Amino acid sequence: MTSEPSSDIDEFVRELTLCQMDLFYMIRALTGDIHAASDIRQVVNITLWRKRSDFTPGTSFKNWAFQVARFHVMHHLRALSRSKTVAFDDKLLDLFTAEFPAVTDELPDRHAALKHCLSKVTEKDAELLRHRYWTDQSLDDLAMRTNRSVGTLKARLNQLRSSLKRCIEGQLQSPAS
Amino acid sequence: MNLQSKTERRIHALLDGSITEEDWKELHETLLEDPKARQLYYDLLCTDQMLRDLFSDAGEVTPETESQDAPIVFAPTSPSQPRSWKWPAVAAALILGAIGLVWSFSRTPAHSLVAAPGSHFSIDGAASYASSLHPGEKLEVADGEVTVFLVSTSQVSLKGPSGLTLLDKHGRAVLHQGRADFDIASADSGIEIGVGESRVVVHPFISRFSLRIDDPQTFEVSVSSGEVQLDRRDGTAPVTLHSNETLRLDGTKPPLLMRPGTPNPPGSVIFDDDFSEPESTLLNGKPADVGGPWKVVSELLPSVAGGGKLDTSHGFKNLSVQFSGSQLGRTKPVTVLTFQTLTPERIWDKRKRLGGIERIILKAADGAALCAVEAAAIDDHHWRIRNAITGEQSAVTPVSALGEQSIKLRCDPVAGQITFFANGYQIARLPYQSDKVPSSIAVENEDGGDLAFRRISVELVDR
Repeated sequence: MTSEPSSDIDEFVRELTLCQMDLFYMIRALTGDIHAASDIRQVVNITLWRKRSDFTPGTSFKNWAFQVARFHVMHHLRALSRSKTVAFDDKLLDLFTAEFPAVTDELPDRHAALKHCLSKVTEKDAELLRHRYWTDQSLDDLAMRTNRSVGTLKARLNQLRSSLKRCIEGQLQSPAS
Repeated sequence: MNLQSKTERRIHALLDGSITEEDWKELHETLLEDPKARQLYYDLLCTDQMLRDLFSDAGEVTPETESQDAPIVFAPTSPSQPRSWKWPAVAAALILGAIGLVWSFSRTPAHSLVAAPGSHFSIDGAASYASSLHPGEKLEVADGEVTVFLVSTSQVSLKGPSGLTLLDKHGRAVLHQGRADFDIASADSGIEIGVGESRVVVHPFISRFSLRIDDPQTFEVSVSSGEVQLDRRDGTAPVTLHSNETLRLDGTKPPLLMRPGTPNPPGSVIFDDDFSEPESTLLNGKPADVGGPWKVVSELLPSVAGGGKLDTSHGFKNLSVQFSGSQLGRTKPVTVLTFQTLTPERIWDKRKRLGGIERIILKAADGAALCAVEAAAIDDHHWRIRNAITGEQSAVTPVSALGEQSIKLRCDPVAGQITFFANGYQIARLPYQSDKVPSSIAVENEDGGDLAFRRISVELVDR
């Protein structure tokens, strides 16, 4: 391999770093599985690094990374389908790959909107969100502690996710509200 | 249940990893056929993942943080209902204190006291774990906060370092040094407070007020509610202070009465906080040593301070605090913001998260940002100064926001400049013109920006 200018490597590393969040969201959408997404992203990063000479400067790094990610996800899902585990088919993956970049373009705004929306949830709901997303523990403990059923907590979590989604949409349409 | 609801339920199940094979097949078909269903999938997936990111960035839960030494609490932000890992200890202390209170009034003239967790105090010079204070004894609080029940439900809270001697069972006492916050619940309590070595005596009515001794010659009484009478015992008429009034007595100067709308004099410290409360004190509603209380505008996890530190690690935060007194009527004051930074607890993600930023902003009463310092991850978390009115900012300074530094920001509209000093050296300067007067400070960190402070203070100075 011919030696690369350090500025090119710096730029590549910067692009790779910047697209990590988008890449993870994309892979999670394609797999539907957060744990698989984490593993696949590692493999994708290695591939992107090995194939960095294939990237054409001036073109969209994100789109190139997404195409590499799609390839790896398809490979992963084919292995799953052989084991009769559920997996999205190629047609759906193509739709996701085509549509999801526009979603990731909005992620910074969605993040900001979510922070605003979180300030509006009740303390009881905030405790549920912290339990679910921060401690990553099962809902059984919280159910016992708060004298509610696990089913009730699960349903409330789903409602919260949906409510936050609607709040984010409202914020994106009128940020001042 | 309509198709939209079914699809939404199935997406939630997919996100939770609990979807059945049958539901998954149905969802797969719907996603293939319906663009709206795919958009719903994208939106809910992003919401779920963003929640994971936000809480993950706020800090992993390790066995250590789940232990009783955890700096982070699962607690509501409401100051009226503090609930943390220390709550059982506080509750136990309060119960012990209450039992001690009943016991003390039935058996002896001792006054019950309760120390906040982590506080250190002595009685008559000996380190103490006592739960009562007898007349004639001197209580000295080294750090933390100790509350003494005077009579009835009236009480005084001493913040370390401070010292108070109880004179009798009627609640007469002398504050020798430091700051004490009084909550007087009875008009005919007979409580009176002597101030240091001076002849001044404070007679409170039903009131809440704080008394602060800066040096043997200087003290300040601030009334937050009710009325307090000051008797200087020098032949002059007693002075009555009402709600929101502050009287500052300095042996070398005439008494200075500050009412709402009275400008603070030059040389006044209008905000100061050294975070000397017990560790894990909820920040929202916490009074500062001067000014305050702190207000949490937004946060991911409950913000806490104490043990000589405010660390904004663990998720985004937007904190605000008002200065004491009023800046109304003052024109073009020179405002000096001084703060000492430490390395924040959460340091390992600072190079990874390129959107991170830390900001400290002086704001006018109408909320307008005036002058600021900010450190962005893309600048390797090094400070810049910003004229927030014009948007002009300095070059990046060599001063890191993530290390131990002593920073001073001088906003001087008369000289027409903002000046930034670090560890005694002038580092940067920007033009600055404004007729507005700073009346609050905002501390913000976004997306992986974190700060830790040992102390923050703001002073009006003579030019």
